[in-house]
Amino acid sequence: MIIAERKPLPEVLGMLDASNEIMVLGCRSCTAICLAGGEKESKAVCEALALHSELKGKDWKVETVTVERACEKEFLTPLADFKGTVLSMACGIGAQVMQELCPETRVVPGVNTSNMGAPEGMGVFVEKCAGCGDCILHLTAGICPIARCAKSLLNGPCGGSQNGLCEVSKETPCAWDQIVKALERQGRSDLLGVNIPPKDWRPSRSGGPRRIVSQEAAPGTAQREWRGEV
Amino acid sequence: MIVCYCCSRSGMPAALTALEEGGLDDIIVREVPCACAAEQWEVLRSFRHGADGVLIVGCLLENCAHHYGSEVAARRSAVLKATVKDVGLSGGRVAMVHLAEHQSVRFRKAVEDMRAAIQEQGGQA
Repeated sequence: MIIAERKPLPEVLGMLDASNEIMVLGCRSCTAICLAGGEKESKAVCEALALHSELKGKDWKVETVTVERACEKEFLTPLADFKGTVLSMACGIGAQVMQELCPETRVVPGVNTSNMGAPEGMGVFVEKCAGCGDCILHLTAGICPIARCAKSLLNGPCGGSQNGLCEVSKETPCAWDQIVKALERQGRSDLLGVNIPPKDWRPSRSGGPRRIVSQEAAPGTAQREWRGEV
Repeated sequence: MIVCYCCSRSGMPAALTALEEGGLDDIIVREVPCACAAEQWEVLRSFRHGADGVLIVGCLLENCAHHYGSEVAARRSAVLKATVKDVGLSGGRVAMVHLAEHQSVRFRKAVEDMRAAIQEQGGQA
């Protein structure tokens, strides 16, 4: 899932200074799981903004709406008529989809979108995937060296791996130490001999914004013609 | 007015005893199943509805029936303290107190401390 964290309130207040009508838009998907922009968090921000407005005499009209998934237009369409400022508590994707749907409305981010990861413990979220577009998890015992190694090394650890920890931080396990141990556990130490070639970064961000088209689901020529798109 | 979110196991019995003893006419007691059930938005809404301070009353840290509910509430109250300051209220408006159900004196002391802190900042308690 997408991991995000709430922006500091003073920063949010600064972005909303010239607004009158504000909608705090929460998302029940990823940002709700990482406790940054779900229903509860959006309600808390909404109350904080309303309180700030009352204390400072700003006359803001603040409301909050939480949708199932802010990255899908279907869920946002009922909000398309809103004319004020949208404070998006969804990830950067949700904020941009809302902006595309309402081009004349000002959409500002309420969270800092960080990475693709998973909850590791209560309130702790760790990056697991860098979205590089060319997965090699089958060679690395299901542990991604691109996202979880500070140097994104592909063929073993660097000299900074000490006692299973990365030199970058004592809280960060060395991904390659984990990979070696996991391969030994799985009886697949032979995979350590596979030479992974230098990474082709074109399927990653280096190739610009990526676009994936599902051959099955994306409309074909006949369908596009029927819809008047060709 | 001070709104007290009291855990039903510890804070509520302590608050009721303290109320019976009198002298706490300026407080509103709200029972919650655990101190951590007092959500951020509820506390902030209390301020919008006229509260001068909010006191979260939970079990002693080692004695929480929900194991770590009281701990979560303490961390949340720390976040709330910062939030309340950020929106423009003076300090000392949010506090957390850990007590056992027989410690009504501790509850009263927490209310009196908060009252004093609010009055020091120029507000009414």
